[in-house]
Amino acid sequence: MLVFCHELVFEPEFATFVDLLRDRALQTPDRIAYRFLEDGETESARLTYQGLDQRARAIAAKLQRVLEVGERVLMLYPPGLEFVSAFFGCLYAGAIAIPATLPRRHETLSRLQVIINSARPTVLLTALSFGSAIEGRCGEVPGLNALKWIATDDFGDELAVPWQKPPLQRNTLAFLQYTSGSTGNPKGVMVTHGNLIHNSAAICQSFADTAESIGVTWLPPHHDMGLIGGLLQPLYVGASTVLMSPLFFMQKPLRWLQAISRYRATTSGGPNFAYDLCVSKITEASRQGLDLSCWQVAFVGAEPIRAATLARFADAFAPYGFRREAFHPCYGLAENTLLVSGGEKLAPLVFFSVDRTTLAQNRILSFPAEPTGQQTLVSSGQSLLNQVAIANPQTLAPCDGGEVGEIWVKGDSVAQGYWQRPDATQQTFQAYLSTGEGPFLRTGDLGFLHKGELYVTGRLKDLIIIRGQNYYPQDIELTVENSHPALRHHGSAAFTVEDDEQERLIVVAEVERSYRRKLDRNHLVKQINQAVAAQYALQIHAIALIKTGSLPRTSSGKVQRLATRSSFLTGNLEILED
Amino acid sequence: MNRKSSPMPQITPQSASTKPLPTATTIQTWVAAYIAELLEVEPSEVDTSLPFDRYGLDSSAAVGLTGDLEDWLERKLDPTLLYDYPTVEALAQHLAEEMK
Repeated sequence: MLVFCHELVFEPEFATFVDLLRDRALQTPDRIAYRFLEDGETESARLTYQGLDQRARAIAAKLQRVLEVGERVLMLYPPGLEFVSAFFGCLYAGAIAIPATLPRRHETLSRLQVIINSARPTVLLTALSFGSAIEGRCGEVPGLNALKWIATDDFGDELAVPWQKPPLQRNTLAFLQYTSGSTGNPKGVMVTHGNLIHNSAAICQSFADTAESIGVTWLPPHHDMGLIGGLLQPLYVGASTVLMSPLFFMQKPLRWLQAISRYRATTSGGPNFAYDLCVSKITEASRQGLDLSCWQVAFVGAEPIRAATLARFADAFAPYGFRREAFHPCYGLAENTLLVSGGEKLAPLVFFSVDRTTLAQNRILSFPAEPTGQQTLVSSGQSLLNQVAIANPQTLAPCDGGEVGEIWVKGDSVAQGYWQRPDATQQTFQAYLSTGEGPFLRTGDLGFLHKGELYVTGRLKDLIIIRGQNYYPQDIELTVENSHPALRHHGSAAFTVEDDEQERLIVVAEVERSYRRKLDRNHLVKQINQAVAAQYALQIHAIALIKTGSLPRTSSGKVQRLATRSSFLTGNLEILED
Repeated sequence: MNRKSSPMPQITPQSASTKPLPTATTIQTWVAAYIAELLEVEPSEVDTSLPFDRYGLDSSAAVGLTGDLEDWLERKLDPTLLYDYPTVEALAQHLAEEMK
């Protein structure tokens, strides 16, 4: 049985982030906790440890007037320091925070409305400047109207006086992290105060940051990586962090590296795509003047880590001080608060070459002697303060070495389940190996352990991940099928294939017989492209139009995406002739 | 459809200080050329009255376009500009007005 165990007796110095921040505010009141670069370049605001504690108490006192411990608070903020204050305000009030964003344009079924229906918050926290933007969307999200709105930058610190520290235990819920989920189906991961402290200790073991560390983050703060990795970890170690909006990073990726260089940041990272974006968008000329020699932990996670991406980035920025060993691959998910595994600070990357064809079958891993057909995997590091097991997703038997299986996790970072979803909670959070050992969290990701290193090879479900965003194939398929009457319902499959080191979206769709004779292929392809672009802002790499009833299906008639994908790759689809 | 990264059409920038202000037409030509390079089509194939997402331009490319446009126009632009001005024509009109 292959189980890698780092089970340590963990004795936290602080039971909650409330205790931790209160202590930091006493010990290092004037240290700057956060700076904000409003356009990704210009520093517009700062918050000291004492200042953050004061704001948090004022916001909490305001909340305590209108709600009880355990009530939910929806948070809608533009990126910035107000979000951080409000998040701590919720923790200080014993309220359950729900960080969220306004719905994207074109979004038909509003995810935000579904979150409101599920979590039933009583209060909406926001910033004055954002109020009108939210008001503009109330028509689409009627649930917003029923909430009590509080702008957290509308009152002074003097309100902090009546604040009373609520009784918070390790198992008190701190916030709900809504997962991407398929449309209409996001689930709220219940994260406790104890989870936050435990996972922060796990991250700290891997990143080894100290109070002298400096962070730069553009990661969305309403997601686990941006919130727990980007905002809470620096606070946990007493460090200082520079924030910018993800949009200003996407607009000019150079700003990220400039901020690292300018503030002498030690710790900063993002998903694989962010490093690719830097290489493709930052010209030689604009690299001049960057000094990245300060960068010690360039973490990379949240989507498959590609050896070629890391190599390209290192080659491009080594002349500007970037150290290859700064790359810090890690693996995690919201259901484990954040991190499951991570590398060692400034340790060289660990690679492992596997046979591409056997790996594609997601089962048996071979160790070929011949270097042909190999795929180089990057280790996501070692298990951190938890136990990682690899299980056969069908039999639930522990996998042996050389076998790819589902990654299972056990430990104090595992969240309490999905908010008011007992069935889904039991399925995901209370899994037992066939040996009886458990309960484990089922991550839904596939991977294997080799010499204590965790390698993530793919996704158990057919989740489509493109540039760090999750898409459910069934959602995209529905959009495709609705784009033209010639397309059959439950007659399409969406999946990704890797091309040129990127995940590309492929759509295979059956065409109704009645349309076969008068088929206008170009028109149909255009309709599909437009519908998918409008709904998801995604580009389809290839569309295959195939004969009615020729999609691979199960005996019960469900489309088999993986089988379709392999038929697509091997050229075995019944493509319609002109 | 293969998307190339960071196309920068070779159209002479016309910054406010020394050269005449860019007109809606020059901006439109630049944006159309940019999209054409991105999508590997001829600039003439870019319909300037169609919404950007109809070309299959994704959100990352749309935000990236505003960054490259910033460099060309030498002025700050909102990263979400293309959501508010969703066609080449509307965008060019708006920017030309703004720069007056």
